[in-house]
Amino acid sequence: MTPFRATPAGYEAFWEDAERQVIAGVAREVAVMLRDQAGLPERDEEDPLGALEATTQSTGTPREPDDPAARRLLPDASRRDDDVSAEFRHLTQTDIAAGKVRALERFADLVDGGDGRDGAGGGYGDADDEADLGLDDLEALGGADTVADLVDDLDGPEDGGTARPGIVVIGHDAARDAAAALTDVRLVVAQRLGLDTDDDVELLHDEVLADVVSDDPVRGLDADVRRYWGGIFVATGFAQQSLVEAMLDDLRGRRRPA
Amino acid sequence: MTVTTSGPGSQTAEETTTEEVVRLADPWVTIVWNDPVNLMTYVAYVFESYFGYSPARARTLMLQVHREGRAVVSTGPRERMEVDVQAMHGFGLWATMQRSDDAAGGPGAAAGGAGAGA
Repeated sequence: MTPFRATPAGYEAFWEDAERQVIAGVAREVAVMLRDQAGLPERDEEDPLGALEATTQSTGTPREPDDPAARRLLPDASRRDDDVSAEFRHLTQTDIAAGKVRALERFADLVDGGDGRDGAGGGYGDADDEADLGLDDLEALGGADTVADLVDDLDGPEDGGTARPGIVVIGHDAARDAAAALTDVRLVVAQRLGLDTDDDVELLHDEVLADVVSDDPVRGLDADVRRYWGGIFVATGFAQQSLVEAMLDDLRGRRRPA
Repeated sequence: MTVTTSGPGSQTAEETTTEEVVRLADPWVTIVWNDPVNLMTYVAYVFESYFGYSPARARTLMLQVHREGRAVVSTGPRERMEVDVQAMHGFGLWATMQRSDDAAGGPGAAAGGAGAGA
């Protein structure tokens, strides 16, 4: 995985096949989880976002998510006034959730070219079966080995390697949603890994990069699980950091008087 | 984040925006809370791109979120704050809204901040 760079087409990076398949698969899993948690209808080709149906059929407050990760993506709008939170959820949750699902699915398609959508990619990352992001079924997304590789070459493609990295192109019009999708993926993975503080994140980050990931007996997570999802967390952070830096450069360039 | 305080009747046309007037009548604030996941670069990007804040102001607010745990990022009538909170949630930032007089240490506390323009 290389950093995103600005190009005339938008933002481009090289990702290995395993990186593209795993990360696109996780993005689709998050979309499925969120769709379920927010009470959006199943994906429908006639109404791919499900937004229209959800909006028109909702006669009361949208379903309040019970999954802690979904609650982080769709949080209460007030810490002290339940009425404010309830009204906000009623007014906005369907739109916010539909927007996130759309962004996650679009991002996944950009990353793997749609190969993994609806299991069409064959074998790898069949997201439909893993809507619960259970963290304990490592095989579902290809196994821990692929993601260990994923962290090995964060700085660039292997010299003279036989692997043929694919170019991930994020167009200017898709960049904001892609950055948001990366955030949502990281928030969900962090919740599953119990990363509650800056220190938690820093420790896992260091362990992943040094390849010394250990068990987390307090949270009941073994080293394989932490290594696998930790690899995804670090890689998506690396991707987001470089993408957003390039986006910020462009934003500031546009705003600067000529 | 009240940086344009001025006495009654002393505002220039530049300062007397509609938003400023409405704010006095029905003041609410949008607060962004720290979380361990979001990258500082991303938070700054959101503040610059969505609110149109300068890089220095966005950085000051971002650092305030990071160091103090939260920052008031916008002020205005409740309906406007609902729009801002919705946008922040869309970006994946953890945001809430409340009446500005409930926000102890909120508005105006951000101005000092280290690192502006660093």
